[in-house]
Amino acid sequence: MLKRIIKKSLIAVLTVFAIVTVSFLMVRFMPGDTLIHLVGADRYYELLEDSPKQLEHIAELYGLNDPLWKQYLKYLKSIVTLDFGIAYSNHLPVLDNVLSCARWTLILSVPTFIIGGFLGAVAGVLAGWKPGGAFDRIMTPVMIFVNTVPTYCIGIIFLVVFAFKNGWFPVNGMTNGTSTGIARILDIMWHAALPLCLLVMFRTAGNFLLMKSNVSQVRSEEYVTTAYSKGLTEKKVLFRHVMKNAMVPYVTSLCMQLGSLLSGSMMLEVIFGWKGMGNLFYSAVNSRDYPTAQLCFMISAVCIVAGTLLSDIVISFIDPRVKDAIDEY
Amino acid sequence: MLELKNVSVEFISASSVRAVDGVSMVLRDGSRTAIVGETGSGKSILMLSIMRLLASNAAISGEILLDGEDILKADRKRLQQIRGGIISYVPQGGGASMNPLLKVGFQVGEPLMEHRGVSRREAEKKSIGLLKFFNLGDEERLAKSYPHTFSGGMRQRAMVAMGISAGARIILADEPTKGLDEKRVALVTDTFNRLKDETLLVVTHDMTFAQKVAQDICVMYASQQVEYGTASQIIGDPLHPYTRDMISAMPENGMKYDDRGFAPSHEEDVKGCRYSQRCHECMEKCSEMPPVADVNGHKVRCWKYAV
Repeated sequence: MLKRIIKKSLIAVLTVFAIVTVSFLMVRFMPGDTLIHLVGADRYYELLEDSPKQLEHIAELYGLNDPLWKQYLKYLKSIVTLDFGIAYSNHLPVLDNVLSCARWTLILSVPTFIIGGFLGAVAGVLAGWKPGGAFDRIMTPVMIFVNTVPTYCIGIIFLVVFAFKNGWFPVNGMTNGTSTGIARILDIMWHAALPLCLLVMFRTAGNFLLMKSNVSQVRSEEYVTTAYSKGLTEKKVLFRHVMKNAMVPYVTSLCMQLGSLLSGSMMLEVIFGWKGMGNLFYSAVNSRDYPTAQLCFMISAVCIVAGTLLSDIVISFIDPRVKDAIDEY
Repeated sequence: MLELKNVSVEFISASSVRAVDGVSMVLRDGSRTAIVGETGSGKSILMLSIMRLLASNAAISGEILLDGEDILKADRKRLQQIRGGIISYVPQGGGASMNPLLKVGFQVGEPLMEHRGVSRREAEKKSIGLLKFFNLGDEERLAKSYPHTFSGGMRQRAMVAMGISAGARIILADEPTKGLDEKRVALVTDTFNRLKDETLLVVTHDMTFAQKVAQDICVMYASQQVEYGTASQIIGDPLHPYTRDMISAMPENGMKYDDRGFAPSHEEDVKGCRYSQRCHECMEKCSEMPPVADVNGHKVRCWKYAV
């Protein structure tokens, strides 16, 4: 088992290595001067006219005059030393920008993960356990609607109704910037209320549909009939036999969601002016801030690889069939 | 004693389907009965209807009397007492019959915890003894193993152990030899023959197995009971043409088989005897439904024996 986990981890490390390499090659092989992508088109032409020497200096800094393999080694070294360059949007180190935005994203994504994971599971179990019942008939269409309508549609409606028209919540931003201490925490919570509500809604809807389908499928399994035939109460059949099995794919999905904690919700962060990772990535792509976009892309990819690895490990502990298959592998 | 009186099962949907049609039989205490018939004849549905384990759209009519008490009128609480405590259902030992995430020892001992108030540890300990009774081999390790590590035959024997763990006195077994090779069928047969005091009702399409484990045999065809008698009557002197055809198709009788198609589906509206389409002794009268005739205690639904 331990051997298999180590093997899986090594594969994950190799995957990350491949992502890092692709990210390096993408910039080098994009049409045009590589410097355009590294300093931004506007600044590139500005420097080309006003100070070609500085441009030369930047090229030297990134080692663009060196052979490709040398550049690659330098690039790998910069990743290991967490030196991801300077963002040309605000001329600050990319890492500082990203860390600051990650903090704001986590304020939204961690509660979304916990509340959405819990509500989706509970509601999904209730609907899947009694399919066709009143709860199922009301909840399923609502959840399908929430799950399929684009995020920005409901986001804008919420913004118009609860922020513009009624003024119950701020239109955008994360804080008023003046308060301190507990007042600041409450202020952030007030600013986060609308986007958080929406994120929880979307996450709950997705989780609800998954859990409902798991429970409906498991309750028609033969071993559930066996459980009833032993004279078990409905509650024991549900908790001991149905939920335990329905949780296996659900836990896999939660682990994958854990992997996307840091990538943030691009649309909602943009709509609500929330300076999180999604918003940062969006602005970086829009302003062709390649170093920032590159790090956002890498973080997102690494998190997904980590989430997949985590789900593999967790499932092998929950499901003995998976554990045995892994041991035999 | 378990007595079935004119039991019918109908599945209500856009078009209603009658899966079991007027079955009657008596299971005396300690008796051993087999229900035989081909796939779709209603055997398993009949068994599940005794346990009241059918889907909610199944309408069961008639009477199922457990020592005079009609199970069809039992409330949920009483049903929970009956299931596993008095009547046990042993499903087919396929891969899906046991919970894949729970250890076999726990699952075998679960009825004990439910009906006898035994602790989990005690129930698991007793389950080892039950597995030993059925001679599974290396029982302590097996009790701690998960169902997917068991072969079909082992799982089937563990299911029987589960069936009797809480002391149920009536065992209903659904196709216990399905998908098993000859050696494993012999092991399962031995398992059932170790049950001395329990009343046994076993559903099978394996006539040889039925002959080895049962005293009485009920033959079902297209949702109807076509013949019911002792095993020696059914095997030695079959009356219904279907039973005769089935017995001559047994491997030991040379597998003589006339290809006359399949039994009518539940949706098909067959007037008269349901076997008439395949029967080589079909008469004009067979276009009407034959009554159940009693030939020296041997019941048969065929015009040949109707008075």
